[in-house]
Amino acid sequence: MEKIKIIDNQVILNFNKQFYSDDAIEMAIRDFSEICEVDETDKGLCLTPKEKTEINLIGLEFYNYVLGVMKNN
Amino acid sequence: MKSNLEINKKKGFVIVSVNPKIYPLDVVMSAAYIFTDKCYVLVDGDLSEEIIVELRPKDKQELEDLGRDFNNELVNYATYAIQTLKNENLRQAIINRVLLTNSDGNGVSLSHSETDNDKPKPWETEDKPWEKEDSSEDKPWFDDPEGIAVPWEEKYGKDKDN
Repeated sequence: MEKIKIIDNQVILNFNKQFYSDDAIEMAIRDFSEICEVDETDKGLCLTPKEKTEINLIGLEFYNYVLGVMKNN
Repeated sequence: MKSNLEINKKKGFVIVSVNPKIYPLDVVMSAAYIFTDKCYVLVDGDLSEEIIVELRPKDKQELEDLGRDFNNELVNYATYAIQTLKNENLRQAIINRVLLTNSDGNGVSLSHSETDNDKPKPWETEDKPWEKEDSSEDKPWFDDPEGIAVPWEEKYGKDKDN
């Protein structure tokens, strides 16, 4: 499954739960909700930026952020 | 030996395949976290078969070097983990020793018991020379065998002109 998928103004992320913890993802969602709309759907985690920005980077930054949260917890 | 790197120059990323039997998950995740400074890191794969780490550099960087640096970081963290495991008993012994220093011998006691309140505190019993009553207040605090440390006014009286 593709880990980062871009559709229109949305980036869809699919996390492998063997490596990324739910708690860390939840915390990242809370923190990212300031800059983008976050929806958990069947397809994955959908991020829609509130302002115009490079959408692919938001997905990649989200992945990095989750790693950081996991490390700090 | 077969390389564990898969370089995709067109899309600008390198995939590092890691054997979880050699490098445990916490080692891989620690190394991945270190790399979040200079690249975007995605972890995938199967925990029992193969861990796949995708590294996308934030700035222009040689992909092969990046992959090899990641391999080095894996070795670095694995060594650290092994050393930590080896020193675990020693570390525990040191901590126990430190805690026992403040206990009564029957176990660790970090709080004072009721009977402790009756005992004089160490700072109450220690010698305090500055609090001793000075029997000779007039004596100077230094030796003056020649008697030259007498103030002028005391020796000759106050100058009446002034």
